[in-house]
Amino acid sequence: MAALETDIRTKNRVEAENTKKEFKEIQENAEEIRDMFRDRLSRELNFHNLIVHQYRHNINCKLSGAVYAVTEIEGAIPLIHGPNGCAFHHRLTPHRMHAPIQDMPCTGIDEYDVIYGGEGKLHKTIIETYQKYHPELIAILQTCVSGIIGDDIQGVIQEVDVPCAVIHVPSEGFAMDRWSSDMLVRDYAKPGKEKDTVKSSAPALEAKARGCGFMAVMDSLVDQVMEYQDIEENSVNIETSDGFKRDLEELTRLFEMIGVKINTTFLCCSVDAIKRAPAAELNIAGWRGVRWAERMKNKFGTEYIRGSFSYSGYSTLEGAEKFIFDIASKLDLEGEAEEVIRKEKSRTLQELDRYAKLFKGYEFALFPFGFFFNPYSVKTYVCDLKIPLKYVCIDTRRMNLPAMTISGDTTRNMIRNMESVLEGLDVGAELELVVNPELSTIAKKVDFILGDRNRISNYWNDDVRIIDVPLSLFYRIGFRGLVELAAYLTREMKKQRYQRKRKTIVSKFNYDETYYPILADNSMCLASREMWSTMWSLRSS
Amino acid sequence: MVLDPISSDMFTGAVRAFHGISDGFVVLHCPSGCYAGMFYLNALSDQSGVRMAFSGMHARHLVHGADYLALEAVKRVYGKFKPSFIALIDSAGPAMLGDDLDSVVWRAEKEGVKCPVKYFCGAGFYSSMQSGYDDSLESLVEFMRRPEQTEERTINIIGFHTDEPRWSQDLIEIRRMLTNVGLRINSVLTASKFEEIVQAPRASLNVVIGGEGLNIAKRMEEEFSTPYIVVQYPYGLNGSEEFLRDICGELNVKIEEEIIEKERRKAREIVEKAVFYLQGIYGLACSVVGDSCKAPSLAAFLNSELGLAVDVLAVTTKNNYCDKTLENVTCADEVMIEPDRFDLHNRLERGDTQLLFGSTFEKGIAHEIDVPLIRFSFPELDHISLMSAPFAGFNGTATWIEEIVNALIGMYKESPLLSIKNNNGGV
Repeated sequence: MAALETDIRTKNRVEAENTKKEFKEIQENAEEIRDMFRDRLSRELNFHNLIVHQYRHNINCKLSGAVYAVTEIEGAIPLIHGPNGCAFHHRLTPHRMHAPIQDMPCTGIDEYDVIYGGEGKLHKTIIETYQKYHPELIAILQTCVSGIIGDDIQGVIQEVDVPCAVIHVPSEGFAMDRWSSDMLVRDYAKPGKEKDTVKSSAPALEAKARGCGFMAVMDSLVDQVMEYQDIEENSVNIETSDGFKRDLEELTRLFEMIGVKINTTFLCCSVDAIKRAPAAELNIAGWRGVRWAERMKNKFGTEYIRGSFSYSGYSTLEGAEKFIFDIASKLDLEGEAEEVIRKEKSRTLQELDRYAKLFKGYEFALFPFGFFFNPYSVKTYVCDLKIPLKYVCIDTRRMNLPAMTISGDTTRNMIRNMESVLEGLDVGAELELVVNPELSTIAKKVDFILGDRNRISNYWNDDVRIIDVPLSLFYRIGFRGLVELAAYLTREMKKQRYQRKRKTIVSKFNYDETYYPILADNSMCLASREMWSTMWSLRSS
Repeated sequence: MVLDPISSDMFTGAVRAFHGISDGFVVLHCPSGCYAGMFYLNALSDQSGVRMAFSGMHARHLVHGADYLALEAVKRVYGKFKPSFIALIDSAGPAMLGDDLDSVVWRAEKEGVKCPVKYFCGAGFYSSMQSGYDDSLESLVEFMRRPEQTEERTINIIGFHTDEPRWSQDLIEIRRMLTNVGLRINSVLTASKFEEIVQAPRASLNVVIGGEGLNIAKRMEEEFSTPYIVVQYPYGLNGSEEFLRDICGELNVKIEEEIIEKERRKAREIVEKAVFYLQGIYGLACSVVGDSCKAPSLAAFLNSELGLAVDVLAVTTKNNYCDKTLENVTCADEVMIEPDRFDLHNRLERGDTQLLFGSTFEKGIAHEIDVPLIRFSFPELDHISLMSAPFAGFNGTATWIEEIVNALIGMYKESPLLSIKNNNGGV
């Protein structure tokens, strides 16, 4: 027995020494990694993801997005034109569950107002809101009730006399669109090459989207707040959101080198900055779509570029290069940009090369919960990070695609697209596409699985080294994002060494296969979840 | 005029009441946002107990009607999970358009739904959260069965909410205390199975906690001759003793003094570990923000048993018994009834509150006035209560002391002098 214990101790010591040796070359920048994780926390690990998104159990209404968007603006206050209940539960908005909204005045529409109209009450509430809060902007947000009774909100705004901006946002909760995820996913599924050449349907969809409260607020700001300005040369507006800190730092750094000035960070800015937004030469639209940018183009003639990587083929190192170059071209700064891009690319490649040497010693499989983003992630892993991917796995079984109104045709198209991406990568026969495999089988053939949080706990008890790679780590702006992704993977690989043979509490539960992470033996919760999927697909059909 | 409402509307009140039926199911006939709101209010503090579905209304249904979707939802819920009871609640939008949900109830029965289905109009513009709750509870009387005879020493608890911090621990403690004096809980409205609610008239007494659900108690008295008594929420040693004595007095049940003494002795033995801290918090200014069922009782306990000074008692939802309750609560410097949130914030900023008792929605205020927040009232969305420690009853006394002392000594505070700018060392 003593000999066995000595053997084990020796083996552990050797393994620990090897670990140190392998990782000692990678000197991580602690501050950068911390910032990256703060961004990630904000984007993905908040309540919204853990509770609501993992349940995949509800979609909030247009009002919710509108409330959140308004609270991003410094000095702005949302005014709910509806019953008290709307103000009560929208105080908790999914994008900032950690901080319920503090100030949320409401007209408190009652039965009398439903019959005789709520315009008088709205007029009075606007004045009182100004007197109490002294905001720079009051955004009147419509609810289902005020939307149905048809109060003339614009008319009230014209009549009311308060020394601040007052805007109307058509945010009636019922104004959700009928279009299904299928239409959007079809576009996501296109490989980058095709996306560059084929006109994407997603922006067109967004242009029509009635159900997005974010977009409604941005439209209202363009129409009702922005003012004509003298154009400031080489300046841009950037669409920002919570969790954008690292990306903004990277963009600022690159822009400074090229000679581009940031005019406004839209919406995380002051009301005055929004008024001055038309001074920019170019808008960089983000994940909230291009509708606001289209609107600015029509009204103020501001050109725009879509910065959202999932649409524009700006993922991967090549994409980052293209992104910066496209912006520079719009501002006639190609020459300045070329030099910056050359230096940045060279530095990034050098840094990535250090990580690639480490990755080279292992075999990987890609096995995420969803597969919509696989074309982008495969290219990033294989081409940029030089990760020796052995398998790309697609699992269509646990996603409950019909409930997401994703058709069989779209699923098949996505698989075909994936095949064409792999063929185009020219990595030989070593990379195999596997549809609906068992994760435990794949895990035995590789050292690490690149997955995501949604899948991890299904298999925590298995001897599987699975690395949670959040989507937001892929869709970063600029060059640093790729290096940070590589650093993240390195850290996670290191952690995996200490995470084997654990007996975590979360792994002791019996999860439902289809509706993970809902527990299989909790019939009423499952009922709620199944009912949501059923009724949502009936609604969208 | 209330500008920033501190409470919700009828819809929320109805959902809170019906969702407490532990083997029932709530079907919401509403757009997705109303459903999402109710979902958060339940799922964020308890991820295993969501029993809720929605009809999936879309904009077009607000013109063409969607009662067929409501029927579909009810049938599917029943077909799949056979709940004992289904509450069908509509929100403001569909209520304005006049979807005929009474006919949905009728058709559901014809089309194979074997459990009772109750339609309740939850249109938010009709009334407040409190009346939504009261009316929903009262509507359950129609399902109650007249007993052949009542059971002695058996009571119903009325006005119990299953979405408040430590509610299940409180119920266990209340049940334990009542069992100790020889009483049995027949039904809890609403934290019982539907059949237990149906059998509610078997109890000898309805115990209305904090006056919450007074209407149903009055109605049951009319319909089934079940007498009722209003008691305060049992916080602290005195509050718990009074709770038991009030109920037992009404039922002519004698309490063995040894039982009370034993409870007090046990609590004292636990609490004496923190006796220095108890002296430390004596006189500390605090404020209490919560509904009229619990907040006045808590303020009274904090003041009379822990020696705290209650600066503000803010009643977020006022039930029909609130005025009488407040006649006996004289511990707060100021009582605010359903105040504007802005005014409450202002008042707290002007006061000397060092510790705030409230809900998740007071988080921002607590942050701004820089004091710890102890969550005890609805909604609880950023906090979970898994441990068996209750707030209510004799055993709850130690929980309160633990929460209060930990909240205070766990804070990191720089010296207040450091915050004085340009001090030049003159202080």
